[in-house]
Amino acid sequence: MDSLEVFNWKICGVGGSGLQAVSNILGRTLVRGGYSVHVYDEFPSIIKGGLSTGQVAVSSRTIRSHRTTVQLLVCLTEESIKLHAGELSPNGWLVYDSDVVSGAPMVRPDVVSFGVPLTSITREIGAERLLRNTVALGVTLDLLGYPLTDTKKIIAAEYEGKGHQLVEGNYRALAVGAEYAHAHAPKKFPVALHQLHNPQPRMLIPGNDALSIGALAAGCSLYVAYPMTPSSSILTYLVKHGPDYGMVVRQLPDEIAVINQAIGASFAGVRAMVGTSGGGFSLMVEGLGLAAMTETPLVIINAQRPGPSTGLPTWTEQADLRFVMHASQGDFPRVVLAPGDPNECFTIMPLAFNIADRYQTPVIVLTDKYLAESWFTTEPFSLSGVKIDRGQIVKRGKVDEQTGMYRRYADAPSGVSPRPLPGTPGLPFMANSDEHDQFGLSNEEADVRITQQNKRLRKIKGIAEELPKPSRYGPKLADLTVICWGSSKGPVLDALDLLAADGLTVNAVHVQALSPFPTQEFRNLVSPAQRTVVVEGNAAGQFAGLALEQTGIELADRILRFDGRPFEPTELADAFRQRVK
Amino acid sequence: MAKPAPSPSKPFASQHPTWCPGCGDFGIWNALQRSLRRLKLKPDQVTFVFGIGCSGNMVNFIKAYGFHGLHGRPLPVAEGIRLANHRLPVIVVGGDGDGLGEGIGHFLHTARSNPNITYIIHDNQVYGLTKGQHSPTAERGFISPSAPLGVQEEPVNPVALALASGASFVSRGFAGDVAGLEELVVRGIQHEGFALVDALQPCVTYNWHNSYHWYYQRVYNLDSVGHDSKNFVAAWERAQENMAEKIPLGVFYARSRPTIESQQPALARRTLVEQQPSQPIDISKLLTPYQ
Repeated sequence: MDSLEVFNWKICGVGGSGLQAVSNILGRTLVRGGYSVHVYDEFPSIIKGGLSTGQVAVSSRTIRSHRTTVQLLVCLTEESIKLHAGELSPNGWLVYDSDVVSGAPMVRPDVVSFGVPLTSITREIGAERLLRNTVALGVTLDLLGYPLTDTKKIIAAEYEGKGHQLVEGNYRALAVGAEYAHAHAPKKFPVALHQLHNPQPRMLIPGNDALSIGALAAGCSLYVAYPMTPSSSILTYLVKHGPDYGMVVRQLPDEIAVINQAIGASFAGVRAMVGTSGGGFSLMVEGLGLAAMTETPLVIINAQRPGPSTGLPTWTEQADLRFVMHASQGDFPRVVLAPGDPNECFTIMPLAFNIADRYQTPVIVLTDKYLAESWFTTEPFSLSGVKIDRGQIVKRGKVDEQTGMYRRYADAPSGVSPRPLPGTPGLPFMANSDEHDQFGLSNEEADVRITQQNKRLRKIKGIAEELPKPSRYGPKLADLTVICWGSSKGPVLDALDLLAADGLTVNAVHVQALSPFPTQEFRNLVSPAQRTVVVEGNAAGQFAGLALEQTGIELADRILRFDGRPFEPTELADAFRQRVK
Repeated sequence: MAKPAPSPSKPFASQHPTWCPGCGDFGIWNALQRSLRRLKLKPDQVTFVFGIGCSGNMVNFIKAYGFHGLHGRPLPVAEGIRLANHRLPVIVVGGDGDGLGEGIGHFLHTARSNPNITYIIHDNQVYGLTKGQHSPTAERGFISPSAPLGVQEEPVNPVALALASGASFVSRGFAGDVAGLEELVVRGIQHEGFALVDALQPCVTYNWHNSYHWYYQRVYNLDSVGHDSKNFVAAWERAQENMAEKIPLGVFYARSRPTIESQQPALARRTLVEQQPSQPIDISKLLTPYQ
C-alpha cells in the first residue's frame, strides 16, 4: 500500500454481470464506515459480454481518485485473471471462481490465490448466477474483517423496489460468501478494515448525479436529451426524480431537436438544460449560436469521451475544450465551466443558470466520463450561498409608438437588455437569428450590426467577473507547480498528498472557468512558479495552448494522456518526483 | 427599416412585406391575419415561430411575439414554447425547403408528439432566397438552377407524410384562395394538437411551372366531394391524388388525441413558466441514497 494507505479492490468479469452494482455497494458500505472511497468502472461499448471491471479504492485519509495497483482482485472468469493479475501488488490476493477456472491460476509466486466455488455456492442457495457478485462481496468483507450490517442495509434500500425475494437472495449470497471465506481462507488477509468512530456523514456520488441535483436545486424545470454515453445517466436520473420537483424531462429524437426545444422553452421563460457528449454537441453547434444570437439563456452539459468522431465511447478524455470554446460560427461570448469533482459539479449548476439568465446567453458545462460516471466521496451538498437570479425579465414597459413593438434588444452598457416573456401583455417583439434591430426585426445596416454585435460581446466583461477563479492547492511556494483543469483535479491532488508524505513541496493550480479565461488570476498564480507542468487528458495540450494564448506564459512541460484512461495519482507522483529531484 | 404598414384594421401587420409583387406569401400573410382577427386574438397573445426562407421573412411583417430560428428547426422551438407555457397559441411559419428538406425529421417527430401548434408550410417547390433551386416538393423533371437535367427524385408529399406520422390534423390550402386558407388556419388553431396547413403557393419569380393559373385549373375542395375527415383511409387516398391532374384542398383528416403537453405531470395544474421558483429548491431528500 502507498503512503495514503489505500486499499484497492477490483472485480473483473463479463460485462453486464452486475460488476458496477457490486462495486458501488462495497464503496457505499465503506463510506458509511467513515472511509474515503473512489469507485471506478471500465467497460466496453456493448451491453453484454466483453470484459468489464469495477474497482473500489479505500482509505482512512482523503482520496479523490482510483488506483491501478490492486490488493484484492476478484476474477469471475479465467480470461480476467490473465488480463488483470499483473496489477496485483506484492503479496496481493487473487480470489477467483474455482468452478470456471481449470487448475491453479498462473500468477506470480508472491500472489496468494484463493479459489472460491462461486458458481456452485450461488447455485446451492438457489440464486441467479448474477448473484456470484454478492457472494464475492461476502468473501471480500470477511477477508477484511468487516461487518455485513451496513452492506445489508444498502442492499435493502437498493433492491426493495424490485421485490423482497431479491433482497433475501442477496442477503443469503452475502452470508454464504462470508461463511466460505471464514472457513476456507488460506491465511489471514493482510488488510483489516473496521468501522471508524463517529464517521462524518458523507456521500458517494458520481458527477452526473451531482450535476443533476445541482440543476434541480437551481430550479431547472426542463431537461431534454438524446442518450449518449457518458451523459445518459443525467437523463435517467432526472426523468426519475425531476417530475417530483415540477420538472419536464423528455428524451427527444435527436440532439438538434434537443437544443432547439430547450431554446424555445427558455425563450418562453423557463430554466432549460440539455446534456450530451461530443458527438451530440457537434449536432447542437448551430443551436449554440442561435441561443447567443437571440440572447436566450441555456445550460449545455458536455460529458466528454475520446474523439474524434465516435472515438472510444465508454472511456475518458479532455479533448473537447478547444471545440466547445470555439463552437459555432461568428463571434459571441462562449462561457465554458469545467468542474473538478462532484461538489464543484453541484455548486457550478446554480452559477451556470444564473449566468445564463443574467447575461441571456448559453453556458457550457464540460465534464468527462471519469467525473461523470465515477463515484467520489464528498460532504453532503449545501444550499448555503445558492441563489436563483433570473436576470432582467420585465412585465411592463414602453413600446415604440410607430411599430407598437418592445425594444427587446435596446443597447445597454452591460450588453444585457430586459426581456419580456411571450404572452406578456403589451410588449411584443421578435427574437431573431438574423442580425436585427432593437425590436428584433431583421436589419443589415452597418451601424445596427455594429451596435448589436458589440452589445452581445460586452457581456463577456460582466461574466468574467462572476466566474470561479483558479484555485491553488498546497504551499504558496513550491519546487513544482502542477497545472490542471476539470476532472484531472482528483488524481493531481492525490499525487500531491503522496509527495507531501515524502517531504516534497509541490503545489497545484486548478482552473474551473476556462472561457472567458481568468487571465490575471492565472498569471498571479503561475508567474511565481519555479517550474511548471501541465496535466491534461488530451494529445494536443489544448489547455496549455490556451493558457499561452491568453497569458503569454509558455507551459512547455506537459503530461498528456489520451489512451481513454484517467490519470492515476501514483503514476503522476512518480512523474512529478522526477521533475523535482 | 422598410416603410411601416400598421393600421388599426391590421393589428398584426408590422412592416410592408419585401416579397416579390404577386408572391403567394401575400395570400398566406393575409389569410393568417384574417384568421387571427376572426379568433379575436391580439398581437401580444400569439407567439409565432418562423423558419428560414422567404416564408420566414414574415418575422418582419407580423407584429406579435415571435422567434425566427434556424433553417429547418422551427418545430422543436415551438414544442419547447408550448412545454414552457401551454396557454400560448403557437403558430409556426416555414417553407417546404425548411420543413421538408433540412427539418423533415422534426416534421415527422412533431406530428408524433402532437403539441398544440399550427404549422403552416409555404409550399412553392423552390428555394426563393437562394435564387430558385428546387425544393423537396418539386415534381420529377422540374428544371432548376441546381437540376439542369430535371429533378431526379420523387417529391415529398407533406400531406401523406403527416398522415403516416400520426398527425392529428392534416389540411392543404392554396395562397390563391385566401378565404379557404383563412378557414383552414382558424380550424388549425382551434384544433387541440399538431395541425398541418400545407399552403400551396406560387413563386412568381422562380417557379413558372406551378403558376396561379396552373393551380386554378387543378384545385378542388374536399367538402365539395363529401370527404369525411374522420376517415383515415379516405384521407390517405385523397392524399395520393396525382397533383399534375387534381389537387384536393381542405381538411384531409382530423382526430382528437392527447397532446404532448397534456401528458406532462408537471403541467397538470399550472404552466411551467408560472411555476418558476425564486428560491433554491430543497434537494436534501435526494442526497440520502448516496450516504
